[in-house]
Amino acid sequence: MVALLGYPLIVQLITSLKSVNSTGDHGWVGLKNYGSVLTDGSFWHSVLVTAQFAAICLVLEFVLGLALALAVNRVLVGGGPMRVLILIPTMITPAVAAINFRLIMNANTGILNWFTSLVGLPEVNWVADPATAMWALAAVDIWRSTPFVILVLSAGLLSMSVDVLEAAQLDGASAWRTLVLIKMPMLTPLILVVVLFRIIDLFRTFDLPFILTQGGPAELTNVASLQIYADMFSGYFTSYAATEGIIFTAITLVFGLMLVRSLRADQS
Amino acid sequence: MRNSARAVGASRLGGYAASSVVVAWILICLAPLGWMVLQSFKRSRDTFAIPPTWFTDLGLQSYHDLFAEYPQFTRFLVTSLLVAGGTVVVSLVVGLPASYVLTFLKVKRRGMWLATVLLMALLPPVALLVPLFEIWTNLNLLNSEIALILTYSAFNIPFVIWMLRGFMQDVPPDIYEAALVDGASHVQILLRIVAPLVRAGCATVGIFVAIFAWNELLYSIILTTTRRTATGGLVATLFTDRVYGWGKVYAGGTLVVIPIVLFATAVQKQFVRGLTFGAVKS
Repeated sequence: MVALLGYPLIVQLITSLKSVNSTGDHGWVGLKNYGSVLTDGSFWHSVLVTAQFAAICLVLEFVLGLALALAVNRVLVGGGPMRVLILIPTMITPAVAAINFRLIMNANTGILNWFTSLVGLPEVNWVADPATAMWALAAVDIWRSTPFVILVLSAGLLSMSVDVLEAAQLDGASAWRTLVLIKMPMLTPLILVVVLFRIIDLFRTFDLPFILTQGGPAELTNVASLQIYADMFSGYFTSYAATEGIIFTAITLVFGLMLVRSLRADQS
Repeated sequence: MRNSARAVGASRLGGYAASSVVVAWILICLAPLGWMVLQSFKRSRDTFAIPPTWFTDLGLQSYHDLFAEYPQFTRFLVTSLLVAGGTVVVSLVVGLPASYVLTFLKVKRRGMWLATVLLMALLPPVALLVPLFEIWTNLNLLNSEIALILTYSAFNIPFVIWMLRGFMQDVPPDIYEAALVDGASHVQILLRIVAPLVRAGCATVGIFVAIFAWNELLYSIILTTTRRTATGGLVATLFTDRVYGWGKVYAGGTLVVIPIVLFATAVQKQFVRGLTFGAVKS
């Protein structure tokens, strides 16, 4: 493992300290690349877009996921098969899902606008309109990843001690108070797992925006992975892309470590 | 009595409400998939008809066109299978011994190694785009299954080690110690005793790694040009070509998605366990 991931990491580090592009290797430049990336507005813009995307998705996926987890656990018959059906969007190849959604959301030929026109709403260019592009992207991720949240939280709710919940019911606690004061605190470790996993996954998002919005309109959905991909493939910024990769990784790791810490602290 | 009867009635009512919410969610979420499959069976003139056509004039035209105009698509599917299988084998062959060492042997700084494994699992794949592209170019292995298999393995091995360690910790230490006293070597213990005991773990990670490899897009379009996996081929050859005839894209997409959905459904217990990094053992 050390060889498989460690060696690329070292090559990465070396590349970031040099000036390399499609015309060749132009020697060592020290930390110059780091200086330019750290002062590059478009890089920070892509980091902010990633954070914005992650925040929108995380909040909505969590709220929807918790609500549906509570609902799934109250289903009277067919809960098992329903859980499998719920999971299907998670299994689907994200790239194919993105192609499908892009065609569904197409302004002129997509079926979504046909549905909205039936109820008299105006035509919207979902993936190209600055007002809706980020939401269109988030919607596809919510479609894909909420099942994961439902699944983990519903398993956590099921494993809860029945005694405690019955005691709360006998004491006359309302469903809402039971949820907020008893269930949520007991779920905290699993909630942290969900949040950690979603954040890691949302930070690496590539397939969905690459196909759905291609970073547009006006770079409003240009997440960090798209930025690094584009810089590398322009050919002129190989070292630059390597440096962006390192800095973005560092941001992800620091964020991830902070979350792992709070997870550990909570469990002990 | 009356009280409890009312409570049962209320909870039954809640059950119906909950069921309808869940059913509605499932229907909304599966509709796009159903739409894609339906589109793949339509004639090309109906693909973008507004108002849409539903179940009229369906046929296999798009599938026929897909394989006639893109004979390489069969190859893409075979490559996907090869890469998925190869990635499972490589990541288990490396991950199993590594996990064994980190579970049973007294390793110096075990905590540090484990933390490294976890950090590696957090790495965003895009972060290694530049060096991996350079390395495979220099080794003349661009556009080969080997490059994809080793790249995917590299990204999955930390996950495999972490998951298998969870399973190995359930192996009773007595068994391990008895074997050691009997003079068995570590290779023998791993192969004859531990590996059979963590079969379920191997299945879990194997299934998850296979799905990862099948669905992966970024490295498939970067590291290969003609010997692509089906996912990469669909995006970079069919979709980016701007083919006139989206029916073929729908047909290709259906062929990529249906096998993986069937597979993941068949093994959903392991899929769930892998998805949650072992946090949920349903």
